[in-house]
Amino acid sequence: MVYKSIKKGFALKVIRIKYIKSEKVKFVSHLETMKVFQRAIRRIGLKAKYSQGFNQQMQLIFALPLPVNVLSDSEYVDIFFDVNYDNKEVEYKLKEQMPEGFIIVDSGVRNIKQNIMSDIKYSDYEIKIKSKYPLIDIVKKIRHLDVVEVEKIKKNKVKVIDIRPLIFSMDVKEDILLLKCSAGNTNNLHPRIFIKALQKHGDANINEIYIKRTELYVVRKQQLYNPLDTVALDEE
Amino acid sequence: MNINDKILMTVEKPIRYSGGELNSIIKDHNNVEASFAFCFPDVYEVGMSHLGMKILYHILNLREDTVCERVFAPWIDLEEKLRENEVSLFSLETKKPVNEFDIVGFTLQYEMSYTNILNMLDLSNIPIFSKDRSDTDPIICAGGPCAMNPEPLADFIDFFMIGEGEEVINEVMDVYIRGKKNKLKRSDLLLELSKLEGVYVPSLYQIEYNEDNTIKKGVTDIIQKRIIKKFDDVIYPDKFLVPYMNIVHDRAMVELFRGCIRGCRFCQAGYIYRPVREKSVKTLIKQSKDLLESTGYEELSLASLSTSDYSCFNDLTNQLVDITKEQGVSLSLPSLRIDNFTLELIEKAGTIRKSGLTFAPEAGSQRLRDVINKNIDEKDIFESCDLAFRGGWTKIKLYFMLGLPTETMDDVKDIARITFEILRIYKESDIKNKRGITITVSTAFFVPKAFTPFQWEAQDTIENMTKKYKYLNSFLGRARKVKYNWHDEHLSSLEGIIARGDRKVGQIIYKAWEKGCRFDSWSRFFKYDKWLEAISECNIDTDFYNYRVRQYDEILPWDFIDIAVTKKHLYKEKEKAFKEVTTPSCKDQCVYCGVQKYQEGVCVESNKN
Repeated sequence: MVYKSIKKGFALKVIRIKYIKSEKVKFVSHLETMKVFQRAIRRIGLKAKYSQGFNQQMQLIFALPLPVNVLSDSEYVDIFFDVNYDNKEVEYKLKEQMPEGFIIVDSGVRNIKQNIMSDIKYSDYEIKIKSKYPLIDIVKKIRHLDVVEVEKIKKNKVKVIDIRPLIFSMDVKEDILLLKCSAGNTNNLHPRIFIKALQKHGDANINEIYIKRTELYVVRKQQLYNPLDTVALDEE
Repeated sequence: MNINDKILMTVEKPIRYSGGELNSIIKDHNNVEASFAFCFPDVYEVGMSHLGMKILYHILNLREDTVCERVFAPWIDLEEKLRENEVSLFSLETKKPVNEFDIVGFTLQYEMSYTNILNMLDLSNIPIFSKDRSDTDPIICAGGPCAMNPEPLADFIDFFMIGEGEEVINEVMDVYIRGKKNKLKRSDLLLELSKLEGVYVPSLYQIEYNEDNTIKKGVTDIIQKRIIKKFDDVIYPDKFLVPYMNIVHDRAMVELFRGCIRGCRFCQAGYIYRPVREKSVKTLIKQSKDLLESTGYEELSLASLSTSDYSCFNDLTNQLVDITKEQGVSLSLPSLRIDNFTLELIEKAGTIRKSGLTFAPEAGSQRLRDVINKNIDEKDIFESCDLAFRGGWTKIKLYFMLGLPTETMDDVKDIARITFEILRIYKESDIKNKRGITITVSTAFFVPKAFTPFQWEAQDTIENMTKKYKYLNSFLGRARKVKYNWHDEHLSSLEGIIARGDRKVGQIIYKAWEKGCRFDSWSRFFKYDKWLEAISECNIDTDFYNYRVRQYDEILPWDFIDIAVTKKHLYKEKEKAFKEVTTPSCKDQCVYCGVQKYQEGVCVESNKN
């Protein structure tokens, strides 16, 4: 493993890891996932960067929290280190150390100081539901609405929001709904809020079978890229 | 999607039941001779914190012929769904229904978890009474500290393991597997198991009672408790299960020693785990390193009854600080040992948790502390607090008991006096940057336990208990910076009935469960009225268990268990208690309690002196 201390004044190396959160760990929450990574890093013995202060925390930034009971093929986390590591070596070691169900698939080095959380703009979801109406009919109905209002409970208050502007596209492939929508820390469409909209405007008896996040996107020059592609892009 | 998943999607915290944690062990049931379902009769967060389960899970799964999987009490919401969908309770590892295991074992950590045991059996479609089980049902066993008085559960449990489990559990598996191969009938298998040292099969004995309800003829054999000899060599997991969700004690732990040298007269653990047997520093360092490496835990704690009594405490903690500091792990230290050494240690480590400091004086006055043989001087507490304040601590926790034998209202008032004295020390201390202090005072009500010098004594009445906590609250309740918590007196009274109960008490537990009691130790689920109904329907006078002073020659329900400490010694200690005479610790002077017969641990070491 590469062990090269960073001299003062140099930017810290941040390694971006892409992983799958599969069926086995679908009930593991966002905060619990953070602990899973921290403990895996500690088991490997990597010199991670810790936050300062009374309660020191290993610095990890996740692209976008994943709700409990949502699967994902494309999760990203930025891990901050105190020393330089080869990202592929970190990737392989993590692959060995993560509990079954978390599958490490790729990695890169993040060079610019863009926080991944505020960088994420769009997300893809696969949504499978049970309904007595054909899925395509429900989707068509939603597509033709100019306003898609849903009730959202926030801090015990019910708020009506219009999610139409957050929906980028909806497609149907066999019995699965493919949703591309706004994501990130400013305009985020929660997939369960979307299902609520389907229930309200399509069929009240819709049941969720599963939700899977399939990709996250950042925007560069008005184009969508996945967060690992940008690593190369940002270097240009 | 299977039915379990469908149900889990609808309950709170499904992660409690989904398993798959790091270091959990999955085996193919077709490739083993026997399967063991380790059941903890409380919710996941509580059960997963328990060290005994981690040890036995490890030992059973080390065997190639055995698979051990975990089962916890389902929370109320899951229970409802299981019943509604007619789904049987299942294990975490392979989601196998509990009734398809060969052996189902419960750990008995506290009496008020017993209704959960009955509930878990019922949710597993296993007959609740031993007598109703057939050859196709699993064998139900139990162990743990409360198995020291097994009688209240005698009608439900097929066999008990009395004492420490690390060795007997292997012997049980050997006998079971041999019996299974020879197609032994259930009753014959239990008879074979009963031949093992430390195994008690209640169905082999009939209890006869006198007219006054005392026991005329109890269990006719003597069951010897099991202890581990050569404690330094005992198997200890090199890997802990690392849960996803937050559990009560979410950290790596090493066990410095078993037993306690102190001999506090109210403390069952102090007697049943005798003699004190320590592990070597070398072993503990290795086990700490292994655990940190295999778990990635961010915290290491030292588990034992009175950790600071460990012989090589300074050497051990010095070395541990070096290890934990390097790995960015925080080390939790026992509170009582705040002295200049620990302050230096903390300075050196920089990562030792400073959040709370805990003292357990147990009684407010020196007189009452002499009665219970709690060898803490309040001067030590005050000095430790003073040092701690200088070291940066601002949260103090104090634990006391109310309702101890001979207690007066003056003793109760002394609890407030100690609390206010600590407040005064903080106020008058010349430390800079006072951030404000909080003192949390907690009182539990004394529950007389089997195998303690107070096993013959009456428990305080509910009326008295109420009076005492109200009296104490009249001082502490209005004090700023002090938070006072007390246990529920009704719960403590029920605990008293079960703790010293005989076989008849099992009926009450059954009735209470039938009426919907479970999770009794969770205040929001505790239904005292249902327990009272159960008691009156069973037509049992529970004052007989709580409020009666027993005579020395009475046959107590647990007398057939031999913990090596003699009944004579316990009685002598009881007499000394009432004379307010203390007994030295095992390290200071052997008082020949009976345990010296093992020639192990502190008994051998103190003979050398």
